[in-house]
Amino acid sequence: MKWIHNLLKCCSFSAVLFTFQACYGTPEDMLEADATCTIHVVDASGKDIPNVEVLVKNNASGDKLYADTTNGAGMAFIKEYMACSVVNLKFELRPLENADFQPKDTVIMGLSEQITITLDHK
Amino acid sequence: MIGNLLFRAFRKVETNVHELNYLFWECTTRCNLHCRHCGSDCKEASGERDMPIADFIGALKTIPRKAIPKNFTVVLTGGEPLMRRDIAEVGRQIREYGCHWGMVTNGQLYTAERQDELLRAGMGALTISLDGLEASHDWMRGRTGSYNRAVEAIRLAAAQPRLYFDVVTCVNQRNINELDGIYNLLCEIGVPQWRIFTIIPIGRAKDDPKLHLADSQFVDLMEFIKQHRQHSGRTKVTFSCEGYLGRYERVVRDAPYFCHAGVNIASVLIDGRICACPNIDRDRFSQGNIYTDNLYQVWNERFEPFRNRNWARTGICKNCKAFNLCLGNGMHNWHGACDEVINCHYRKIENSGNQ
Ligand code: SF4
Ligand code: SF4
Repeated sequence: MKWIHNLLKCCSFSAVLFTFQACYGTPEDMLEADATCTIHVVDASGKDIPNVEVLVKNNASGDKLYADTTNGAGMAFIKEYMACSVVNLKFELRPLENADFQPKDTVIMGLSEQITITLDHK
Repeated sequence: MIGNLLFRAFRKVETNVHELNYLFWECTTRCNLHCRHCGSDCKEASGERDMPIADFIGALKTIPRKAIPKNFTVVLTGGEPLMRRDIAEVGRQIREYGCHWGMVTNGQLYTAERQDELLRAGMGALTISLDGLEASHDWMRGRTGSYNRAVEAIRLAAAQPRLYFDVVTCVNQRNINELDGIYNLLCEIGVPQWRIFTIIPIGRAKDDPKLHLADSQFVDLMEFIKQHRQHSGRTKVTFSCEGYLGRYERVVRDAPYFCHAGVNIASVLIDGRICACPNIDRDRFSQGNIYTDNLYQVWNERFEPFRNRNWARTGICKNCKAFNLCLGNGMHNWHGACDEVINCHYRKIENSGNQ
């Protein structure tokens, strides 16, 4: 039984069958992870900067939410940042090996799946 | 025909698997309004104390993390949940345990600051009640000015893209002629979904004729929803899960009728009792109590009357040709001795003769 249930759940055509709300209840919160986005770190010419530590903070509470390091394509994948619902996040970027670039703090006020942040040369 | 057979097969699988993914918590019975239709007879200063957070979270944590599906949603209900000052703390603890959470509110205490606080605590779903245009809403809710506050709250929530948000309206004699006006208002505000339901004849609502629709009005309501689902306004209109609708099935809502109570839905009530939707007869159908039982064990081992509804083959349901699709209507339509269903939507539609 369980495998049929799982199979049906995976089929997009049957998704409607699995979403419901009781009369006195709310809709289900269908957000997958809380939110996922990609941080793309580039220099002024748009070139990827690898190996930058990306720390995401809830700007209101100061809570640290996630830290990752950009890969060779300048990308960091932020998987879980629930306070993104308040779209008031602070990104702190610290180059780990590119000593030429300055650390940067930036505050994001809008939700977006991909955020590009430019680091400046010293 | 084939669609119905497939749906019944699906419902059987769902019932056998009975994955818990929707949990109500009746976190308070205090309320700042005095609604005519409220089944729970809530008051500003309720006789029942609010359940401490730790008691509820302790019960939630009996559900192993691995048994929590992706969309598992805890729904805070009341009373009016915002009468509690610690809702954000509750929400944070629910999120920390890997569950989503949402809240049903009358909107009276829902300010921009409160919304911010709740979103920061991971709130992902919200429902606000609006029971008519100004005079009708205030009449229904028992307080002048409650409409304006509810509309302000609706504006705030509709502007917040993170929320799975909808507005619910309980349709009655007073507001049935205002449906177009409410629809236009919600479209103007940008509310994504408007969910309509009718009143269950229990509690205060039982003896108030202004609250109940005649059969022909009920069909008018179905037609209203049908028409408004056909044009692409900003607000999607849908009928609630409350009952089997015969020829309006899959016309006034997306999915076929399926009462998920006890199949996917459980609740922790104010006194710790474990049941399903809070509008179900709790004296009759509660399955245990978090103060004496393990919530998850109760979910797995009890709930038989919810998962096998053959007991509902009684009274008018006994020889009903629609029983296999309806199963005796939503569980909330059975109260007391349960020898007769208190509301049959299908019959209302068939009786009205309105094609
Ligand atoms: S008589 Fe009972 S089973 Fe038949 S449609 Fe009405 S509520 Fe459902
Ligand atoms: S008991 Fe009523 S409100 Fe709950 S799922 Fe069933 S029909 Fe819907």
